[in-house]
Amino acid sequence: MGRKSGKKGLIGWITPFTNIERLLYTLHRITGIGLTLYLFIHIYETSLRMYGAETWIETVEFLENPIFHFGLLLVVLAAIFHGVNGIRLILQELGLIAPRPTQPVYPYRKYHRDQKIWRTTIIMIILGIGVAIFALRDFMILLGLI
Amino acid sequence: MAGGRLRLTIYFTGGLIAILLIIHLSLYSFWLVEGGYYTNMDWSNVSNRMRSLTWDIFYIILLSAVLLHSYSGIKGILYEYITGDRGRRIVDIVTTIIWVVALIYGLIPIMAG
Ligand code: HEM
Repeated sequence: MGRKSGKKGLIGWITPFTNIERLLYTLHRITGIGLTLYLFIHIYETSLRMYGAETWIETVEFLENPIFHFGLLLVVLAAIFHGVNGIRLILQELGLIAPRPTQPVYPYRKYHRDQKIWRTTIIMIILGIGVAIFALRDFMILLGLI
Repeated sequence: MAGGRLRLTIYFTGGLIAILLIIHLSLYSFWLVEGGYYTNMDWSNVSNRMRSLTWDIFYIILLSAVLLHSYSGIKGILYEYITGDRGRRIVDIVTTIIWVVALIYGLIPIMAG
C-alpha cells in the first residue's frame, strides 16, 4: 500500500459528530496539541527556578492572578480529558474493552463492539467528571471563590 | 493517527504519563497537601525537591516520557497531512530539533539543582 493522505483532511476534524468516537477523537487531538504548547511554556517557566529564590518568587507572584489561574484550570481540564480518553484508547487497543475489530466475513455476525464502546465511554465520562470535581475544588480555592 | 512504532510509543508513554501525572499533580491538591498549590510553589519546597535525587529521577522520567509522547503525537498528525518523502524528511528534522532543544532545556535545571 502506498501512502495516502487523510481522507477528509482538516475538515474531517469538524464534520458533524455523528458518533461519539468521532467527537472524542477530535477533542483528543485538540487537547493533545494544546497540552503540547503548554508543555513548552511549562518547561520554560519552571526552568526559572535555576536562577534562585528571588527569580522564583517573582515568577510565582507574576503568575498569581485570576487570568493565569483560569488558564491553568483549562490546561488541567484538558489533561483530565486527554488522560481519561487516552486510557480508554489504550484499554481498547489491548482488547480489554471490546474485541478487536475483525474483517466482516459473510455471513455477518451480530457485532457487539459498538454497544461495549458506549458502555466504556460512559464509565470513562463518569471517571473524568470525578477527577474534574477534584480539580475544580482546588481551582475554586485558588480563584478565591471558596 | 500514525501507525507502527510511533503508535506504540504514544500508547506506551501515554500509560506511563497517566501514572506519573497523578503524582505530579497531587502536589498541588488542597485535598491532599496542607496549603496545596501554595505549599508546592513555596521556594523552600521547590529547592528541597531540586536537591533530592529521587525527585530528579522522577522529573527526568516524566520529562522524557511526555516529550517522547508529544513528539510522536505531533509527528503522527503532521504525517497525516504531509505524505511526500521530502516533506516528511523536513518534518523529521524540524520536530527533532524542537524536541531535542526542549529536552535539553528541561534537563538543565534538573541537573543543575
Ligand atoms: C495523562 C496521560 C496521557 C495519556 C493516557 C495519553 C494517551 C494518548 C493516546 C492513547 C494517544 C493516541 C490517540 C489515538 O490513538 O489517536 C495520544 C495522543 C496524543 N497525545 Fe497523549 N496522553 C497523555 C498525556 C499527554 C500529554 C501531557 C500531552 C502533551 C504534552 C499529550 C499529547 C498528545 C498528542 C499531541 C497526541 C496526538 C493526537 C492525535 O494524534 O490526534 N498527551 N495520547
